[in-house]
Amino acid sequence: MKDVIKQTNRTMLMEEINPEKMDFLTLVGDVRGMESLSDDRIKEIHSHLLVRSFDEMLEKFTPVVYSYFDVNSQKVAYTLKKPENVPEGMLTEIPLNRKNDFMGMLMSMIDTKRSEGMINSDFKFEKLTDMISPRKVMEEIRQNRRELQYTYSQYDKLEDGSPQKLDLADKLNFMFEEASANYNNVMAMLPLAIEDIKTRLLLGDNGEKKDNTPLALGVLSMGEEGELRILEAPKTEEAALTVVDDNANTGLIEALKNDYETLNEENNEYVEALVARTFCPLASTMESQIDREREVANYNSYLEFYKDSKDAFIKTVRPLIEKLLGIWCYFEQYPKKIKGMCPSLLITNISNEMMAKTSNISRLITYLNTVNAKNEFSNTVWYAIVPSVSLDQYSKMKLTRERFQGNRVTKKTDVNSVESLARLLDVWKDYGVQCFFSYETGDSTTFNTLATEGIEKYEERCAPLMGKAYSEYAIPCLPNFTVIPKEKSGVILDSRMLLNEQGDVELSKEKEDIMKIWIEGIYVGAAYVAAGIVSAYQCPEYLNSCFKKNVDMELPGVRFDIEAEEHSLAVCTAMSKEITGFTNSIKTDINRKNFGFVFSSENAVYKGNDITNIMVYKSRNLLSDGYTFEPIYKTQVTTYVERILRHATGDFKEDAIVQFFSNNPRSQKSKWLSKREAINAILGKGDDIEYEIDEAAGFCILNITFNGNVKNLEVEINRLNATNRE
Amino acid sequence: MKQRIRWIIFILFILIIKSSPSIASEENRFNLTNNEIVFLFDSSSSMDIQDKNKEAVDAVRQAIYSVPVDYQIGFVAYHTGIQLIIPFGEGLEQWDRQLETIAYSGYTNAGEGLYQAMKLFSEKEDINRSIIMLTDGEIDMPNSQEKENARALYQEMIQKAKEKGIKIYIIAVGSQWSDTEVHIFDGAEQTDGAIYWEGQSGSLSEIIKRILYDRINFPKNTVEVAEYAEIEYSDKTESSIKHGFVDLELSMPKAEQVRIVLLSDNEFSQVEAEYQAKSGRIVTGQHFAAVDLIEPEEEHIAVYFQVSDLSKVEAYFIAEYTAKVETQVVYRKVEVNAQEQQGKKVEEPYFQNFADISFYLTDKDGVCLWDSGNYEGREVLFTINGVLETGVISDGKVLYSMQIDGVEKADITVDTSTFPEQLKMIQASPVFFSLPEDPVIEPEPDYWMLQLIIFLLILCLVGIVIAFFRMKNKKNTVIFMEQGEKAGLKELAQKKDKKDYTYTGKLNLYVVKTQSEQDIPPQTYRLFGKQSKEITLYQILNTCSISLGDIGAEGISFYPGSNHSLIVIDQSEGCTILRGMEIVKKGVGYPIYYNGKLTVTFEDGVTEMEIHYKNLKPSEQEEDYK
Repeated sequence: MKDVIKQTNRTMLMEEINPEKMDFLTLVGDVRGMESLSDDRIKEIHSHLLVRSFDEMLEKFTPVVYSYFDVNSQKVAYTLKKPENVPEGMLTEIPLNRKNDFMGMLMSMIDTKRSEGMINSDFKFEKLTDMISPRKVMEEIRQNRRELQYTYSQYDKLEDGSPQKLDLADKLNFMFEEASANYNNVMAMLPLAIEDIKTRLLLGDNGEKKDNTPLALGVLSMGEEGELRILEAPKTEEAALTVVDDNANTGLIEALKNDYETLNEENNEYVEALVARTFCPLASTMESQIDREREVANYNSYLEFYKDSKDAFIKTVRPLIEKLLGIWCYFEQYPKKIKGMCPSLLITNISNEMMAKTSNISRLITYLNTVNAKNEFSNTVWYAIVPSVSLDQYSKMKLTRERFQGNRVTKKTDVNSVESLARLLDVWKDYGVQCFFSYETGDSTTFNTLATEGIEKYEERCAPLMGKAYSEYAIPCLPNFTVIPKEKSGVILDSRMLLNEQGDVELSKEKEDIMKIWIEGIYVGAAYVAAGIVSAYQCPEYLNSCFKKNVDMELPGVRFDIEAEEHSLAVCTAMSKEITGFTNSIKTDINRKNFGFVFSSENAVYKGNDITNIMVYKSRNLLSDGYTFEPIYKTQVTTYVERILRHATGDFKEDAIVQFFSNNPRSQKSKWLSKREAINAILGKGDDIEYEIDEAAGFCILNITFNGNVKNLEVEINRLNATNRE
Repeated sequence: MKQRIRWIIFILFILIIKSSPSIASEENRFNLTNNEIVFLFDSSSSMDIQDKNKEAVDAVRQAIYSVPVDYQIGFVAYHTGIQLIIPFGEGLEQWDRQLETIAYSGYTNAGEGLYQAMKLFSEKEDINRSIIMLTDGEIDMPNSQEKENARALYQEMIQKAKEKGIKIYIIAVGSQWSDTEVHIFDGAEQTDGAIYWEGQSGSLSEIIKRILYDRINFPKNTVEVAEYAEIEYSDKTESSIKHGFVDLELSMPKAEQVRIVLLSDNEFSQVEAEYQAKSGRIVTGQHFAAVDLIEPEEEHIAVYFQVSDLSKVEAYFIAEYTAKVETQVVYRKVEVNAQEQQGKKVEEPYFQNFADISFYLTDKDGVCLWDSGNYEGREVLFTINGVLETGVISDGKVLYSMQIDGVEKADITVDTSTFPEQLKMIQASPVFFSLPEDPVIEPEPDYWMLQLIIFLLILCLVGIVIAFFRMKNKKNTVIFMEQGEKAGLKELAQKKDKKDYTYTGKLNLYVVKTQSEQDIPPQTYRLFGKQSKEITLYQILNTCSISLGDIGAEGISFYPGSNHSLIVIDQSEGCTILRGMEIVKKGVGYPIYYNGKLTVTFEDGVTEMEIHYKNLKPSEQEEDYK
């Protein structure tokens, strides 16, 4: 059966990453008159939208945020959609990849938290949020600068034409390229300028010096009678200083200045000098000649501008960052070292609202008809992710077209309405696609809130989705994961500078002068992690790595019940714990209702090892018999059995169905029953499958028993002869 | 003159003989008699050498499992005395147990054996009786006197068998027959039986098969043996075993007993069967396997097995039923010899009486056995009042019409010997005719005026009816159907006397584009359960609260079609409908099947919608999701 269905974890993500890239609706195109798409079209769609790793996603979608400067408001504006009325030359593209400091900081946050195994209240978030402060930016530059200086000095020593020199030249070119990313635009230079002024005005002592006596540099010398004294540096000392400075630095400085001039048509001496100082500082007595007032004003202005721009940047980029982190977390659930049924993600790159519009839904239907309604399963979609569903359970789709994203403070515009989710679920149910959805991120949907308030509010919000034909395919995932909690997301950039009464420069100690930005909390939608962990455990190699035994390498993990026995301890997420745990009353409530795909952050031990990661506590969809909600694996097993049955019986031929379920040891049912003991058996202990053929109606009803509970599957049979038809 | 008279009498005699039913041919055709068979088995000590593997016992087992229920079988094993007697009526499980007890020992007292075998037969008449004897040699006793007594008794029993018409078939077991002129063979020679030599005539299993099917005419229905295609032989060792299967589909339901027998020179293993029955048993022997089912609930039975050589496997089945003949009679009169002269009948009308007799077979619950469709068109032999006739099964019955003037009754006897099933027939009781009274014909008065008035009234009535149906929606709507690649159009008149087609499934509606660019949520319209009359798209949109204005939706109609199809007809002025990529012509019906799609562009040239036709599962037909 592994040859028939090779993957059971293709996932569709209904989110927009980069509106400038191709999207699902455009690629599918007009489907008037078409019931399915050609193979070439499918291939094209997948070449643009299908990714198998986070890095592949970054490569295909190149998520980017655009910035431009508004003269009127004297501010920098950021937007995720490319503004139509701003010329290319006035627009800066800031790629959101691993090299972006903000993105890098958040990914480091998750990694560090995971490796330390600490809950949120104990974790020092500020250690990592500091990464986006100018100080940290400068520290990184300093590291680069050291390497640049050393490499250049080695380069300068060698003879022209020597192969080693050519190699070093290549390395220097790369380093200059990296450095030029900073002095290529003023925004990038801002943190460097801020630190540079601090260095020059405060000599790097960050303003903690109590003695405000102006500094005059000198040299230690011995007097004629042997007494120690520090003499003001004479001119000869300047010369000595310049003599002390080796030629290499001079060459490097010249190279940097030339590079800057080449890259910037409109260059100025101030920035040119700033570049030189940043990337190759000299010890010099120039400081005594600085216009302090001007520099202090510059510093405060830079700092304020930097703070405002960082604020605007974070506010704009936060929804996209959360999506990217979500995708990253989705792939993180499957260990890189395992090469089995790797999860794959089809990113629609179009908003849920657009996809769910009636005019566009037929395109989704046509696509699913092609990949999910055939006896070829390599492209079959099994899951979907819809994150950021509005907490307003009666939220409707937006009916008017937005041209520009305006500043709306009162209503969130980056959430998906429940109506759009319902429409999509109505389509997915016909194609066996299970949808993991989670609610909008914020401090009301975190572990902390769930631990204090319970799951009742989620149950209420899911009420419009229950009791429907598609309820079985809707899986509410909760709670959302916290990367940086709101209350710990303040980043201190620096303090304002001032000239004291003595005319000396110092950093202000007033609270109002501390420049701080608030990230407002960064979260990852639970749907990503839920889909990621369920996709991961579809792979038998993954299950084998968790359990080491009793795993059948031929079967997918469709029947794997993560709630059973100690499965949740063996198969846990790659996300670190956030809280100490839920109270017993909350857990009792969750167990009584058996609602949703619920994560838990608990203390647990498995085979002598502490579990420091978040585990899955419940895995249920919204199909209810009035008492309890149904586990998600039942739906997937039913879909899997239907697909295998259709394939094996040549589209449900009656006589072939009989053979499929016969007691013959070669029948498919017998083969499944023989593997009962495996953790990923299709029919486990206590499971069975029977069939009844209703000749009159032309249907075959399969009764799949899961531990004594029966689930029905109806399939229209391919009857033996025409006389049975109407 | 006398010569001529003699010739005439002779010819008449010949004609008479030819016209009367042939008794002999009746006997050949009709196999209504029962059979009794006794196995006479030599269990002397010499058989331990000749038949070390007890293949002879296995051959007897093979035979008993090949026997239909109404065949009486018995068994006598003899050595110095009698070792074992199994009388008629014992169950097969009892047979198996008892046959297992046979041990080869002692001398050969064939006389006593044959005597006991003769005692097993009943005194009933019209019974075919046979003895199948398996022995490896001459009569032999401890001393010559006993030997002589045994021989004398044997000879006496042979004579008695001959008088009673019992045939003795002898199977000479083993290879120690030095002299073919042995007394033991007198049994076969004098009773018009036959002698078979193991080896020369085949193996014991083959000999038994020939005696049963060729000599005694056991009913034999062959079933095809096939190789089980899904088996892949991975190495040579595995390929020495072949996987076969037999797939049997019974023609009639409600069999009382079904037996499938597999025969081969090689031993069967891993015999399994798929069936639904009250009870079932699988039995295997050295050269056979049998599946014995009591009251199978389904007509389909499959048997799987493994054997080293599939090409030598033969399979037969016996299906036994109890069937009763039921009859129905419908009388009719045919007016004859009524002549008319100048508009008036000059002679009294004369009526001939006919009976349309239909008969059919039912099971013990009264269910017609010929209703399944497998018997449609099959010929059936029967006699009616001693006359041989042939009928054809149509709609589960055979219809025979006969003139019954002067005939008191019809005595029908049905012959099912040509049917593959074994039927224990309960023939119908004779049908006694009761002739209906001849209608009294009164002289016709001259009512030309009255006739004229009636005719005019009828004309008016017809006119009113035509006008009525023209005004109302026509029940007998005529829809011109598109025939795809075939040229021209074919008229499809909606059925009146047979059941109408009904709506099934549902429609998913997607308004893709509107004038106001409004987004209308997808809607679903259930067709299942709706009355089988025209539904317009306007009605559908109205029901779904979709208001698009006057854009031609009223001109698009749907009707239910055959095979769960939905017929769409575009009679609008300016709408365009696509069925797949095909444009729907005006006024022509196009069928759409499940998962089919229509794209409609309305008269305003902007509004567009897609209609998907979907199936409803049985559970969805019951539930109504909002």
